[in-house]
Amino acid sequence: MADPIQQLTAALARLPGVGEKTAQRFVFFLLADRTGAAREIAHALARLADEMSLCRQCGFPSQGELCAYCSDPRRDGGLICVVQNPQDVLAIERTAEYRGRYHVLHGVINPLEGVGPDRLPIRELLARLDGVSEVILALNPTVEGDATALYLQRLISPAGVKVTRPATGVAVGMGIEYADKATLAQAINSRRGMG
Amino acid sequence: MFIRRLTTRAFRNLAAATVEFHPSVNVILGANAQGKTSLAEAVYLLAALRSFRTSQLRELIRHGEAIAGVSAEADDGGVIQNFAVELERGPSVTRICRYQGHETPPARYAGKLRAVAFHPGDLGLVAGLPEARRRFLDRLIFSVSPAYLAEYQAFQHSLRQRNSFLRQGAPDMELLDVYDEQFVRLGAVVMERREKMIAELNEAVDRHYASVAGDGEKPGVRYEPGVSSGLAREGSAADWLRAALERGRPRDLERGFTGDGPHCDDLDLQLDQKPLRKFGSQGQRRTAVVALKVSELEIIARSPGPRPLLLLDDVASELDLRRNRALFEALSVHPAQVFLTTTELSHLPLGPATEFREFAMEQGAITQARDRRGTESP
Repeated sequence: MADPIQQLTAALARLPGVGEKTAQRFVFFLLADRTGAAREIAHALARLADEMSLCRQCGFPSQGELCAYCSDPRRDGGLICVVQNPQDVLAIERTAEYRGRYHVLHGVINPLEGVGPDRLPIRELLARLDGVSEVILALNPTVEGDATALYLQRLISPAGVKVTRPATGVAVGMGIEYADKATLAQAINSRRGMG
Repeated sequence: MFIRRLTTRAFRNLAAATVEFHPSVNVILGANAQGKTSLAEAVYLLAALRSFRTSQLRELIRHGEAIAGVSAEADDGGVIQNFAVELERGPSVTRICRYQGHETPPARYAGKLRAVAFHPGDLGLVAGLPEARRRFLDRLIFSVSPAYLAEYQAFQHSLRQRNSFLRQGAPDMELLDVYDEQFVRLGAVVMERREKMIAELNEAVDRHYASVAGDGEKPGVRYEPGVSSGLAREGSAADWLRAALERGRPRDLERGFTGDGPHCDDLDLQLDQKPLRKFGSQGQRRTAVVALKVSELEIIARSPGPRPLLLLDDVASELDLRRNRALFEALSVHPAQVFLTTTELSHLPLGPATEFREFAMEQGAITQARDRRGTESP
């Protein structure tokens, strides 16, 4: 068995955005800590690994069969918002504007990375369309996100379900001068008439 | 806008030094391999964030050094602006840009200082590879419309995705339709941008060619879209591209790459409607390149933004006296700060009234700087 310091350093260094040095800082912080942080984190990690799985309906992390959003009867089941990552759900939830359900793809179609449609829960999404009036494709405005959205639209539209995408443009409360060139150019090209 | 003083450090073989430039004409004089071009390259890097000599930025960092830097104080109608670019060695070279002392992402820094470089390598533009002409065209569009960079990158990315998809066995045709649609949408944007720029170039080259050539041959700059021959254009660029993809689909599926599209575009320089690339003499091609470069400067100068700096790296010695005079005359219309490198002062047709600063360069260091007037006798 490897030295615990080395073992944990190597394990932490596998996390996104954490390099060897940062991992080492975490390890030595935990070693020096006297408040029981290491045990607390270990316990939380074990629970995360043992108790959490993905919602069988939408793919969002869940403690039971269905996640908090899918099991909430106050949510509008006629509305599905498709996102790339679970974090996107949290971002949309923070707006407190959306009261429908979600579908998490855990990725987008990306032939360069070898990700085809069969690797994403697309069949599961199509199986949910019964009784749904609108699907919002809240995928990132990248080449891959756009292609995935176009593809899903082609599969969903024949079922008679309305398909929409969130608008892109200048961030609210942020001056036009701070918008990046691509966003601003797109916002200007897709400008809307007033009144 | 002109550069008042420039400082380099660990930049190629240049001795760390601060150079005080003349607001209009600067002549860097020296034998070969003394660092003349490196000094011009340092000025260019500060504006363009790349080199006109090489695509490998690591070559600009002096051997054994981790970071090379160029910084300058520029004067924009009495307003002082500070620019700095550092190149840091790594698996790939990192560019760190500073504007007014603040670190600024390259995409935001670009365009605050602009430059046009003309160097002997450009003389092969007419007869060289189509990639070089596409690059010339695309860079010109970026300098005039910075938003084009993101459009161009998105198109390139969709091309890579479509090609990668084509190489997979038994592709899903529904998904191929999606890649086609995306390729058409992004590709048409690139085609329209290029088409528009080529029309501008054509108009400008038409005016400049005669003054350089001194005869009545009719030049032309034509867009050769990368849509394989035999498919007549009907309607918009998008419709045309869509029709080409549809027709080429079996071939694309078989070969595993996209055979039609802006990635195959070319820009054709013609004289009396004949392609110079095939029929031109070396003199005619050089004349066309001179006209093209003068047009480039003119198009950038009249677009919104700071007036571009002009760098002529050892070009005078490559052109005959007539073309040189015509080049300098055409350039004198644009009051830009100019940097000229040459081995012989007599190569430069600078009129007797032209004030300039001459820098003598030896082994990477400026050994003398003095203000002079004219290289040609009255």
